[in-house]
Amino acid sequence: MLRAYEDFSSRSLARIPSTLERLIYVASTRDYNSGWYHHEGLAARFDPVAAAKALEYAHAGVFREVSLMPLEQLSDELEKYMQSAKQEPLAFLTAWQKLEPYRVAIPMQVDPTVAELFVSNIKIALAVLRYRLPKEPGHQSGASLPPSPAPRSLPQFRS
Amino acid sequence: MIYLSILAALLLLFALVMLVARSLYWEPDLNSAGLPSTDAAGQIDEANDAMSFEILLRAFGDDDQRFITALGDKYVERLLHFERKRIALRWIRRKSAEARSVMREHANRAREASDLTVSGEARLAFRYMELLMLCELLSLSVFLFGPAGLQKFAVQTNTILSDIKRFGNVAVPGADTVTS
Repeated sequence: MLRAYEDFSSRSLARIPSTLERLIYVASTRDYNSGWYHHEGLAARFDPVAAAKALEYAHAGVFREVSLMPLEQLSDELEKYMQSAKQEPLAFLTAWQKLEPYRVAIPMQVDPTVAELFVSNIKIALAVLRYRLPKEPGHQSGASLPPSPAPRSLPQFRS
Repeated sequence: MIYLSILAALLLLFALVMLVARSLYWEPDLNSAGLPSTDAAGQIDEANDAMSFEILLRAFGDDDQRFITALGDKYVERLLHFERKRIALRWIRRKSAEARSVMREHANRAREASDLTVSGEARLAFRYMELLMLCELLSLSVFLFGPAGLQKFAVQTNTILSDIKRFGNVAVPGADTVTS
């Protein structure tokens, strides 16, 4: 498993520039229905079970890194990812805020508090990016934007 | 004046009873993701516990607060405050649940142990009460003011919990090690 992990880290992960992109890439190797990880190249070179374990291990490691990342860094990484996705920024932000596709990047066996921290940080980073969007001239802050899918008035807090 | 003192004492007693009662009736927040209790899951739990301190630093730290304040958007500031509060309260509940779990396990093993020491048990009980009170105080502070600036208290809570975990094992000689 260790050899498969090292191989995957050096051949695949090392080529991806940002941690967030690495997370999205590793999460995409997991089947949504079975939760089983699969990577063609890795499974061809190693035992499929060891390859799947290596991917799961890599997923946990990258997820941990992203979850504990400072918000400033996470916002920058998300901005880079948004640019690399070649989508209209507003459409990208709206889709991410409404559909929350980042939830599929959460590993199956993870501490629930860490998973919550991850979701929470992504939500805040998305709000930061929405705020950073260039405003149309002659408009007040945020006036040109459609209403944010995230409620402007936060729900009442319950302990 | 004497009535006031009696009333204050009664209030304190009531608060203490409520604290203990609440700690007994809270559902454990552990394994809420449905982790299997196998060896593999145990190893994952250990790895997750190692993250606990880092979660503490992130939830109770003020680095993110500074970044968002510098951004200057009131909505994002409110969102950060709301989210951090939620995470911090969850972390506190988690620590409280861990402490209860350790104490329950210790009590189970202590029933079968023949060489318990009174001082050891008293020390453990004292630390446990201290932790519960600190958790309640921390929860109240987070609820009222938010977690930023409370990192010291959170670290103290974490330290007491580590003590309880360590001492829970030492107090019952020959007991199996509790994963921390």
